[in-house]
Amino acid sequence: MKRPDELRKELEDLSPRLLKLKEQGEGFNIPANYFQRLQKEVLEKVQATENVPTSTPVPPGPSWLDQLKEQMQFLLQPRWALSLASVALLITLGITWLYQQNQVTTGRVGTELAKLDQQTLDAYIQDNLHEFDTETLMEFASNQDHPLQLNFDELQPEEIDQYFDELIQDLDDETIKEFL
Amino acid sequence: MPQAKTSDEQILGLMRNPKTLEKGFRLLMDAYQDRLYWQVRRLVTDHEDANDVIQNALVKVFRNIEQFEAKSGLYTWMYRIVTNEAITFLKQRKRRSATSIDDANINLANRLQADSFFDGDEAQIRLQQALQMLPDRQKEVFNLRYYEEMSYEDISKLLNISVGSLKASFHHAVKKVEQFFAA
Repeated sequence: MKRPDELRKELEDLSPRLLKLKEQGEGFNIPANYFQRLQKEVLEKVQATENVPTSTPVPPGPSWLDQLKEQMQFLLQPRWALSLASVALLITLGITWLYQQNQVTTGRVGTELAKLDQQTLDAYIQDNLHEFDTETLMEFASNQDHPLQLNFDELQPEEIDQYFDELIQDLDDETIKEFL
Repeated sequence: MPQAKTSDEQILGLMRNPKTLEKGFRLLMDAYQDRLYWQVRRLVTDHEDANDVIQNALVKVFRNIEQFEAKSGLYTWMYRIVTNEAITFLKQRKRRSATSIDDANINLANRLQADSFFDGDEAQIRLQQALQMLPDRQKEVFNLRYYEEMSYEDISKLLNISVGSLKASFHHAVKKVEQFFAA
């Protein structure tokens, strides 16, 4: 309920300036027919928002653990489990067979090499000397009852120099001093 | 309070029936939009901002009418929705704009001078600048008493504050406005 007289009296006591300003008007205006338009616009806004399909909240996805469990349950169904077991068995058999084949081949090679006599082996090494590094040759020579005999007659001078260079590089200082 | 109880009940009865919902809402706006608008306008000062705030608030009223439990009057319920909307808007505007009091006063003066729906003089602009510096609740009490000319008893029912506190709040606000003018 408005009681302007009561307010006027109160303002006279409190602030004559504010009473004077109030009588002048507050200075706020509104566009013509504003309230008719406001009603229309508010109703349009209500209808517009009602027609907009409300987005249904997306439920949070399952955690990685749930997903893993789900996948495991799927894979452990009898038909899938049987298929997986068959594949695993085939892979195991395949690996085992390949390993055995490799062993057989290695064994066969060893047996065949054992049949070769020392001369044949020496001749092979002489013919393929460039395929071996010096360290292997030295090791081979030290293990032989008959040290490797290099046939220098069949080598070119450059090859002989190269052989000695490699040999010298492999010797330590003390050993070289012993030779000197 | 502004509207007879029966009228509120009639409006609510219409709004609770989907077939007469729109008619009820129109009656509701006919009854209260004027006062609600001016409450908002005096808080936010420019017309365009007030228009945005009142529209948003009335849409909320429409959407939430089912939740109105008639514990308070219909106007009181709507007044709170509208005022909350206006205060939220003011806080957002404060965050966006200048922080110092001087800058805020310059901004307000510029806004009012640019507002084609404000024709107040220098003294009116100064009054708005003074009111801008009041705390939200004190400004609300000042507006209801000074502009709306409501009795302290009615403001007390509306804001659920004792008459004594309201009188103290209003007198304190008037004193601050005087000090602003004197500075």
